[in-house]
Amino acid sequence: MSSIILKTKTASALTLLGPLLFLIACSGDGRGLLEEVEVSNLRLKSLEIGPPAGLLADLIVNPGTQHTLTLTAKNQADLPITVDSTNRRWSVRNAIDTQNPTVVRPTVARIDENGNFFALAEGDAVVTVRIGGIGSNQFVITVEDAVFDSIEQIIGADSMERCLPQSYTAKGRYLPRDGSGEGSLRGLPNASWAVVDSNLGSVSGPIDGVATATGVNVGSLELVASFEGKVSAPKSIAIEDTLREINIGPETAALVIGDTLNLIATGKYMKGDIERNNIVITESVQWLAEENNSVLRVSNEAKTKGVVSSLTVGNAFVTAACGNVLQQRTVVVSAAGSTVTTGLSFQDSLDDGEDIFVMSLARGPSQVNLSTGTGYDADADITTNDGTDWSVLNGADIVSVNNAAIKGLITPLSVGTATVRATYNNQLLDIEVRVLP
Amino acid sequence: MSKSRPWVLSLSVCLKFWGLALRLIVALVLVLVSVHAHSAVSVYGEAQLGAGGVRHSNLDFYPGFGSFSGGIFVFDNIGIEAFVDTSLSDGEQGDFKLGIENAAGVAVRFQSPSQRSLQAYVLLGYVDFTLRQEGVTALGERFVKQPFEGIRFSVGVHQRLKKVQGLLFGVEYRNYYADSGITVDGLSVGLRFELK
Repeated sequence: MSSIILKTKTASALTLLGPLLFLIACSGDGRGLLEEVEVSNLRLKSLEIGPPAGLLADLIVNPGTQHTLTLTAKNQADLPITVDSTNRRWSVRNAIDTQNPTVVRPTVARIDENGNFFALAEGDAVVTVRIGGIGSNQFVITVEDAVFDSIEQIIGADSMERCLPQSYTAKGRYLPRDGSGEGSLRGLPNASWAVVDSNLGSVSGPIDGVATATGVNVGSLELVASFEGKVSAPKSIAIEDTLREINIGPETAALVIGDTLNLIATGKYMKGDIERNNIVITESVQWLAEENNSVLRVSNEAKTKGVVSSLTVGNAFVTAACGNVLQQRTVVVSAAGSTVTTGLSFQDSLDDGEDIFVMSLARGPSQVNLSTGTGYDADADITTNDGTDWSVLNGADIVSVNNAAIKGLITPLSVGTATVRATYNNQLLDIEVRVLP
Repeated sequence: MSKSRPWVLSLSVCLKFWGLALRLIVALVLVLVSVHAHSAVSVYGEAQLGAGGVRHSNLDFYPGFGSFSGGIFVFDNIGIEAFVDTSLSDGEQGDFKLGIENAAGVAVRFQSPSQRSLQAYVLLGYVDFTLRQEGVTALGERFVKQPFEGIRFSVGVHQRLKKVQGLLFGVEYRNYYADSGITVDGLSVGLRFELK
């Protein structure tokens, strides 16, 4: 009997507890606290709201459309840094109508915490965002109902050098639906692109609203854009004769069967009296493997250009071509077990026994020195050797490394840990780099 | 498609703006109903000292706090209580200091029957708390204060002391959950006095 009473009482208590807990809603925005730490870690100085990729800075959009705004940032050293634009304190308000400041107008737009802007009604909207104590610029967006009329202009450079791609965007004229007025100019991120003469070059994309044109032979490349059945007037781009030669790295191009090898193409350019060396053009040259060879294949696909895959043991040459300028390198595929062991060392920034290169965001770029051998030896230094290649393996947002003029110079971008890879003579060394505030 | 009823909308607005007051009223009603139904009730009061653990952005802060609570057992081993916390010290990490400036709420206590004067308990309820963070950044000294509302969950044990009737010593773990990306919990020790 007492057990039944106890159960009844417990049930009554739980019945009362249910509505109480139901009323408890979690609330409170913790981002203010988190962002203060983020601002400190990144040494954040400024924030800049920009238009969605491929749209004009003077952004004009139709009601009922959605656009994701971009966010760029700089640190205290005025270096660009990456900040996430999602889960932020974005805000939007109607711009003040200076002609009729007292007139109440409908809400022009709303924005979510990921920077997605929703145009609701015609008018001007002002967008801002805040990270900790850092506020952004006031980005004005005009919402205006209009229809596409024509492609007005292709925006981009009038000349280019061979195998050095250039970016191009198109802007079009939009007219009000009632046909009144001159309308507005807007970016056309979804335009299609083509070149008139494919022997002179090519165009790809658009990616994020931007087309990439590459010239390979000297001449005048004609670029055209099309959108909703309308075609632009061709834009003539002069392809300059400045490419003197192509080099393929690494110098010792060898791999073990089953492995892959990343070949890197660099160009030597001469413009006037100015010579530029080691300009990386891996992604814009055409890669070709020796005809009818059974030893290897080389990729000519975007993102994997120059990647050699092995088939059998032997030798074959690989060609990198930019129009009629080309270079060849013999690649050796050897049997498994014949790997050259790594014999590279770097000069540790701190003599603390830890194989980590420590640097400071506040102090800026630092030189890392590399030598052959099992310990760093200044007499065997190969830091700036032509055959030494430097790249960031992990953490491109934390450091960048110079592989051209000042080889091995590491520039810190944000606080964290990254891995920099040095390759020389078919040997490699991964260096852990720690960036402190 | 069902249309929103005006009274539902009114209640929603009421909850939004008068949420805390409504919760306290509900708690009071629960107490009154329970007291009315059970003439033989016992009351208790407790004072605790504790170290909080506040974690965010890979930083751990350990602020000190004091906590005071008072409640009524409305059934055997089931009580309803109100509590307030106050900050005693800030936790420090690098350039930042953080403290639980204050906290208050109501909770329901469920405790086990006494075994050799030892009892385990669970507390479940509502908490309203404020975190205060100070930091020195490139912008200078920065000060952020942020209120949160959420659920209080606690587990603990009490040992009844023999020398003073009605006095218990206790150890407790508590967690204030507000779904904010910031973990707030703590360990505390305290003395409780029960009056029957």
